[in-house]
Amino acid sequence: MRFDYIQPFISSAQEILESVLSGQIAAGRVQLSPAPLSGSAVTAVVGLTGDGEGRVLYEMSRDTALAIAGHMNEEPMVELGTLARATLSELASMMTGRAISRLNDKGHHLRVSPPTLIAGDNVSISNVELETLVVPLETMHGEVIVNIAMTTV
Amino acid sequence: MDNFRFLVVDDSEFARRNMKNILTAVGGEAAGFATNGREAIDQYMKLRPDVVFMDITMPEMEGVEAVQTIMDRDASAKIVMVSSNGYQELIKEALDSGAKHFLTKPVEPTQVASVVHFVLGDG
Repeated sequence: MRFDYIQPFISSAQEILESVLSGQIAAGRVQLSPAPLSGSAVTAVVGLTGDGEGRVLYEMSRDTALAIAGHMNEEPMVELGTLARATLSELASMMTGRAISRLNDKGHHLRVSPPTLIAGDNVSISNVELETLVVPLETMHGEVIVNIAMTTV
Repeated sequence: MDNFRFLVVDDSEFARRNMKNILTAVGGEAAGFATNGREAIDQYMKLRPDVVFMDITMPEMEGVEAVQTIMDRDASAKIVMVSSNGYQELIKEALDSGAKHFLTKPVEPTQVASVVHFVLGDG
């Protein structure tokens, strides 16, 4: 996986989180992940197609998910209901959308699928066939872990 | 800019609600909402809003196709595309379909207010 493909996903996620949460977001060290990935309590998955294929996962704890959704809606959220799920899906869509826009403006041809939100403590998401890079982003509401699994075609 | 009527088209409940809050705060009144391009066409023809804010990636019918259909039926329609994806090729496609402006998410209230002024011709 080439770094010029990966960097836009990290910087876009960081920028969008800073924008919607109105605060600084610190990015941790990029690491290669062993497969399969163990899912966190809440994971938003966005598929990628075109001249790069794979998926981007945004993982977080339930508390972090509720706090972020609450912050974006300016009201407390105590359960992952329809609005909270829609908010987290939209957040994943914005983070991925900005990244692929940067890549497409450099000549790539990538498309994103609508996000899928997975919630549950015992969920495992397998990415066996793809090399996965993991970057933790530290927000004021807890950690959002960005998993990027992509192959160029 | 007071009292303009708007239609918000987005499959995300969060995005519809967020845009409604912004547009209401700048003097707009919600004429209606739609969750895909097909619904948008029906709602537009029925409600005839002053301005439409239309997402691009939606189930059933995407935003660009809905804009083309609405513009074929009413060339004076004022439609603003709103998308998480903001690359040049997509922006050109949206504007070529007849959209008057393009906003990239996350939308900022001041940016939305400027666009409303622009498309309604009083800015």
